[in-house]
Amino acid sequence: MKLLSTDLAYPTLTRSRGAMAYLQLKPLLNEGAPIEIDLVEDQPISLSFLDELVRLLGDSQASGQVTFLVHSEDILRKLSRIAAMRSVDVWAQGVDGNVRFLVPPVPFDEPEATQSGAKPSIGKP
Amino acid sequence: LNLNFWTVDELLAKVDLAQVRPNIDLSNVTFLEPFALVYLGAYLRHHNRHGKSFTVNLPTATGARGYLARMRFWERFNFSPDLIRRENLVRLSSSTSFNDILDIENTGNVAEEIGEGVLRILRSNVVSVNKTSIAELVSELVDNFAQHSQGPLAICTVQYYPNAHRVDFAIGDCGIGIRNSLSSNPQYQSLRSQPHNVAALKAFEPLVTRRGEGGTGLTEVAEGIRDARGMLVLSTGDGWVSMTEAKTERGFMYHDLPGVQIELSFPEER
Repeated sequence: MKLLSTDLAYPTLTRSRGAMAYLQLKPLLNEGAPIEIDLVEDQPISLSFLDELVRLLGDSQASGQVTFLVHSEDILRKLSRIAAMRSVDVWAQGVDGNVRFLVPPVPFDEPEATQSGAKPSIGKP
Repeated sequence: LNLNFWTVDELLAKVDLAQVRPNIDLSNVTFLEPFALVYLGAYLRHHNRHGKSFTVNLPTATGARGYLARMRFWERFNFSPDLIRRENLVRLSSSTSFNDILDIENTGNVAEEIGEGVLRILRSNVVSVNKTSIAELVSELVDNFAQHSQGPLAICTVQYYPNAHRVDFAIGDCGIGIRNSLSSNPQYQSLRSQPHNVAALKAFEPLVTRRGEGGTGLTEVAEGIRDARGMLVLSTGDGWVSMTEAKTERGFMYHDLPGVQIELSFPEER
């Protein structure tokens, strides 16, 4: 079964919408069939939205049942960050590809902060 | 005087709060950047809430003075937030104007409403920025404030500077602040004895939040601002944090203002 992300929730910007998307998905997951979710390109999809959806899929041990169809590097980056943070297997497929793959977990960069006596030494861009 | 992140706290630290009706001297202000607008608004709201009212020397520069009037700044911030008239809880009524102050109430869809509104405005103007990315980051921040502020209202504003080729977004409140919020989670209780700027940096780490399931909003905002080669500045209490692609810094503000105030600056792609 193939669904659009906007079929599950709209807009796809917040954590609460991610939870809503999972609730929409749950009856379909219970049927046991594989599900493809097309993360539509022309709508912003926030990390919080994806994180909540993936977290709940992981908690219900259903993440392997879902493949995210990915249109952009930015969305793939977000899924990689979530896979690393949540230690959940996230499956994806490029729109042009026909092979589903496990999204490689890539943790967020955590740059060291320096303490400064004055306000930031670098001005606005 | 350009009132911005670098100057606004120093100016307000000079206000003698021991006086019955303290004086805020804005007479030399010629320009206000979004961070300063939000910081000054949060300052007035915080003290108004505690029964303090101020005498304000308005800017002598007509540009700055007119700007504050057009923002209905004094009507919005010189009174208790409970008394703001309903029609003045502005909600991106224009699809073209960047220059509104918006109030953020803790309602279910305020983050989406403002995120989508900002996207609409960016799309209808010729601004060379990653529009969807900015809308997502704005939405993450607004959601964060709506969830965690515990104050009556937060505020935000967007400004486009065509000559400087830059879009600034600022958001702020005078709520409980990052340190109080995070340390209410037993896991981060030790932050209570740390400086505000340490607690603020902690909040940018993945899954660090006062709630159990962990949040990602500020982590994503930090990465987004680095990717856009922009700048983030944040103040909370007497602490500040700044982030650019090259550097993350933290330090102390001149003034200790409750709540959180943040500005994101996005350069245009050329």
